[in-house]
Amino acid sequence: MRYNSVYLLKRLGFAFITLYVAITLNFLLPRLMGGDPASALASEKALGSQEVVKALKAQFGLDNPSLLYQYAKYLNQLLHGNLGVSYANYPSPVADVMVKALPWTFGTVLTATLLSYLVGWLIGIRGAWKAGSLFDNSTLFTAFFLNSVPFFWIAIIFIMIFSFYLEWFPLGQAIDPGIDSFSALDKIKSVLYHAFLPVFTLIIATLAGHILVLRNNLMRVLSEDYMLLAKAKGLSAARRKYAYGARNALLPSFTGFMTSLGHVIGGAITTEIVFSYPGVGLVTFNAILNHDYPLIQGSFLFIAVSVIVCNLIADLVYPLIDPRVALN
Amino acid sequence: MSWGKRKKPLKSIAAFVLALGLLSGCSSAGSPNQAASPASKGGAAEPAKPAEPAKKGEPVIYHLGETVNPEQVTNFNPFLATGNWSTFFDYVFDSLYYFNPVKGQLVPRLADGEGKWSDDNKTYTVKLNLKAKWHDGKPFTADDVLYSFNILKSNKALDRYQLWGEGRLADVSAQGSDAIAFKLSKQFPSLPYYLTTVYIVPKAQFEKENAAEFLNKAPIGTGPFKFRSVNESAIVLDKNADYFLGAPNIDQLFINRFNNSSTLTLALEKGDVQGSTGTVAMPSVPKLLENPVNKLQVYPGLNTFSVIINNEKPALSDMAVRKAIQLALDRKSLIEKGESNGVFPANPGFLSSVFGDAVESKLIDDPAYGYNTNESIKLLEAAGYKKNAKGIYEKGGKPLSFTYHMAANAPAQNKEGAMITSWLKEIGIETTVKLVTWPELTKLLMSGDYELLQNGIQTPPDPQAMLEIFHSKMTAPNGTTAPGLNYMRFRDADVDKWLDEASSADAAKRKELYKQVQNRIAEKAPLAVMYNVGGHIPYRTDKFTGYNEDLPVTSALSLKQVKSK
Repeated sequence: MRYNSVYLLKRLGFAFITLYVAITLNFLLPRLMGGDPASALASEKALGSQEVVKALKAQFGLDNPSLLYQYAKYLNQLLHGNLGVSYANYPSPVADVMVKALPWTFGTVLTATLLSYLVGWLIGIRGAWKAGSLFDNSTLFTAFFLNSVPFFWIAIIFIMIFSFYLEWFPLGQAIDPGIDSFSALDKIKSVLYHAFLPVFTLIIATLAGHILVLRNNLMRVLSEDYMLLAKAKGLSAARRKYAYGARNALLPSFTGFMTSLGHVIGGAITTEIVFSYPGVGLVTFNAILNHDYPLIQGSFLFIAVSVIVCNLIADLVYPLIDPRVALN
Repeated sequence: MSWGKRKKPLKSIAAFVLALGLLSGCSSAGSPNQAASPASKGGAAEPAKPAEPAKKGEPVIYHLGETVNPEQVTNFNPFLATGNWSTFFDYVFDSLYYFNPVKGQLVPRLADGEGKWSDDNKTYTVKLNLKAKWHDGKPFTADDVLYSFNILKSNKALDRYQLWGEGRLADVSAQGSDAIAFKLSKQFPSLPYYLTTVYIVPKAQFEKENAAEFLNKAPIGTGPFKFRSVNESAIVLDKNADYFLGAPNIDQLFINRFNNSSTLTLALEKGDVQGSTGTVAMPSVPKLLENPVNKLQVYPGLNTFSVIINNEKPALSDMAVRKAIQLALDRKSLIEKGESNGVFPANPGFLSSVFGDAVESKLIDDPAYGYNTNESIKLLEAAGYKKNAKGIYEKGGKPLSFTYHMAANAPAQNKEGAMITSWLKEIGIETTVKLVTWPELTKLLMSGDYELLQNGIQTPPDPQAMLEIFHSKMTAPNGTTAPGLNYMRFRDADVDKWLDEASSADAAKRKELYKQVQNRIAEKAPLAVMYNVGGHIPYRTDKFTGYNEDLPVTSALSLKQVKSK
């Protein structure tokens, strides 16, 4: 056993405290925006009628203006696994809205994150091993360039080139509009076809960071004495590169990788908006615009929980992969 | 060089980047803040693709595009204010009458012709068109109409236009099997307009549910299109071959869902969609229209964007200051530069052109209420204001310095706000711009916690309701929530009297009174109108023909006439 129960309890306790703070902030932040959804709706759709405002407030559970009351109600609901009812989707519950959006985000962002790390790391390893080569210089230049280009810019360029001018891919959306009459195989094909450009964009846009971090880490590791010793021992290049070099260089990237996994659930707002993709990012963005408190809370809760859980896993796994980490 | 042969990718990319870069268009259609994205789609578009007639046996599909976000397809219950895309109901359901904003007229849908007023003008009887049938084949009956109106009575939150409010409906009852009598507690000549706001639902389906919470995932209507399915990319409708007003020519209507106007406009340019119900990136319109197959239908509507003035705030309670603001607005520039001619000129007397001869139309171009900064300055000086060292007019040591609220995340609105505040500066009025969210703008208006605020005011299709936003019964002092849309805190005893009189007068007298009200509003400038927003509908004519331009071209009644070329 590499870690003791005190370490475990500390990490768990820290995760719970973080979760509680996140839940409380989730409750407070949307309410700091000003304006209430019932009044806005009544003004827009019911001539500002105060009767309708009253009825809507009762419907939304906003009839008691006390923040403390609303907070207690929110916590109580959460403890019962109830995320509440979305205002903008009323009477649909928040959970239903999130469940609909989650698969799209998972499919695209998770795939893109995994592929981006894999490709980024492989390029980084090769670049560091052959530092100064044409491959290293060109990937380094490209990585710096991509790292400095805004995310949405890449998405828009790709849409204009591949969708508008070359017409290889659709302009956006997640599936073909007529998908309901497709066979199961065609449905899968349609999903993959529509997901290609968003996933590809996400990979390209996030790749640079992974290449640079791993390349620099590996460069540092390669200059260590034990690498020289390994070479002197006559170990093969592949063994030195992967088992000695990359293994140690990957350690700092591991936490970054786990944090990225935690953020998968938050989606990629920009990509989802540019590609008209129906994921969690878009739902969250619209919820903020609509002052849809329960939905904002629900979506931030999902994000907070996933980030905290992934960080906790990283904390627990790290001592196993890096015994140098002090456990006390 | 003909349209579309020379491609300008860089220009197009730059424009699209700007349009999307600010991530502005991600909301539903209907108001300029959403419809007007910040930059133009500059480059040339694809040349018109040759019409591809549907192969024999293949359904003819019309692809409509619209910004329909995930939160707009969570229910298909026409009574609910949230969770749906209201335009959907026009295709699948019918109301008794349809308000045609192009002509400003009521068109019978489930009603059989115009209704009849009783001698005391307190009962309006509508004959029903019993040829109508529900999409499941069941007959449409008077009971369905009774249910649809009575359910509003028992659910206040559903009665959004307060049909059962004070002085309005007292009872709705069947007169035999084919007529409905709407009994009023007081005379309410605007009732027929309000009948356009209630979609008739099948009683048999709805009475089993709680109408205030029913998601109606499989809607059954009487309308020209039947609901087939909804997915992440489209709402799919089939033609209703038995539609009592004539079956559509197209077999299917796909409402393609986008979440921003820029991508929708690209899809329109590419020919992926044939039209929208009103959303388009306005700055892209001039380029879009260079291709002769693309058209834009513009008509007035019920939403008037204005600089809303808080008439109770110091200095703004002075009519001279309000008039100076009114005259400092170059409405023509706002329409051309801010909205790319996709909106209608507004009436300084506020009533929308959609109401035809009830409108005091001479006010629209009257130079007395038009752009004239010299006159603004004259008015301020005549009222005793003097320029201080900073070039701002002041009286009694108090400069004309106001907060100017407008929506954040709305580039077209912000551009127009910048134009307006610079004009105000020209006439010696200083402003401090504050950007807030749309719901917060509403909250400020309701509470009166603002000085100048740029926003639209939308009313039902009823001239009385549109002018009653100036009635003192619709307002409350600053700090108290206004009970109606008189956010300006404007009070004028004559306006109240004329509106009260109009609420029970005959048609000719009403028009006369409305004109009096409009003249008074233009004269007292409780707000400074910018432009009127109705429809600006882009549509392509390369593959489909038969649009009825006397109606909004992508409305249900027009689309049912559209056919493949």
